[in-house]
Amino acid sequence: MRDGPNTHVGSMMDVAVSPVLALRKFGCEQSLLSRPDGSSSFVQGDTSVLAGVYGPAEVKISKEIYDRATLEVMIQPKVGLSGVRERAQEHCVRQTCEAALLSTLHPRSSLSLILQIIHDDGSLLSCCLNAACMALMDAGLPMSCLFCGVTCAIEQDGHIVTDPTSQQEKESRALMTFAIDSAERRVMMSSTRGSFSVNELQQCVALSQRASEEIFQFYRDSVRRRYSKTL
Amino acid sequence: NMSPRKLCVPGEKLCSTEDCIPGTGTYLRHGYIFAALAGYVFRKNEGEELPVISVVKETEAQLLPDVGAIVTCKVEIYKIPSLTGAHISLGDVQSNYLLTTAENELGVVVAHSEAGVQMIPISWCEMQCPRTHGKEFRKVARVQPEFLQA
Repeated sequence: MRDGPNTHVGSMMDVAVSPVLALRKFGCEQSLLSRPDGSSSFVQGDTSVLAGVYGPAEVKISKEIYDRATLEVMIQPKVGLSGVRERAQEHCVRQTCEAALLSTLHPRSSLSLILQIIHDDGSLLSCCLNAACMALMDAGLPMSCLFCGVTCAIEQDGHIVTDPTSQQEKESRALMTFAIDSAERRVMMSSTRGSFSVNELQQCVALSQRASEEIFQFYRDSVRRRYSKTL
Repeated sequence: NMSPRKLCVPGEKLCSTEDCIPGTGTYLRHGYIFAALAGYVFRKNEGEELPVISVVKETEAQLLPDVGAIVTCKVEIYKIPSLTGAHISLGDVQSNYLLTTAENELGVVVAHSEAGVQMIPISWCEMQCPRTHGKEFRKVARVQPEFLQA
């Protein structure tokens, strides 16, 4: 990190990171769709994703798992059909959701998570993860913890940008997305692209863990606002 | 004595197993009780030594029927559909549900005759077609007045 004084991040990881954390404005709305069992819309800057959760429901016998629920994730692009990129993102989201869900409470059942991309202005995978978490929470599916997505871009000069825009992603030499759990701030999933050193990876992890605090606080505030209306 | 305590989100540590018994919407890990849902935390004393702690959503929508749940469903009898109130007795491997109407309140609520007309119950075990006046044996449900719609 070039700019600003270096600080240590407690026991999470003994690496130096910049104290400056720049995340774009968040926005979230739950239960905005009537058909799904849970839904949410998540906005990060100009990136927007709509998520819908269906289930627990009947599962096809071919996909049935005898001791837990079967989770299917579908990402629908803004235009056209889903391709290899969407398949890779679906895999990342599914891995994260499966780690957080207490799926053994719904054996031989089907859970479907549909993510519709409304607009992509960078950090799309992290926005998908955040929308998925809020939709699962809205559906009342039991989870061991919450999770959030944080994207970091490493610029040509080595500067790390959190929650990058599309332009910043294009100009970066490396891009990383981490799923962080709310219980112990551990990395549940990582998706990386480009070239970077081990030290840079550790810096990005530590930065993502710090950024997750802000996102989890936003989750809690969002739940509090929603429930205050019903009091 | 059931008192609403606070709001929680999944993964939030609620208390130790020494203080409470885990109820619905919670899970156990390393001797502590955690929230599995987003909602209100309730502690309820049910005459036990320890209170039961549970998390309840603001709208309790049951997603899947379980054993003992009372359901209303369409049942095909000799290709004639009838609306039946029944208990879930078992869910089998193919995700089908076995039903039982072995209670006075449970049974056929709405049935159609072969003529396609809605039949009228004439006793607890018979229904009659108003067009053909043909009688058919059905275990008729004793629907509570508050559940009848005009």
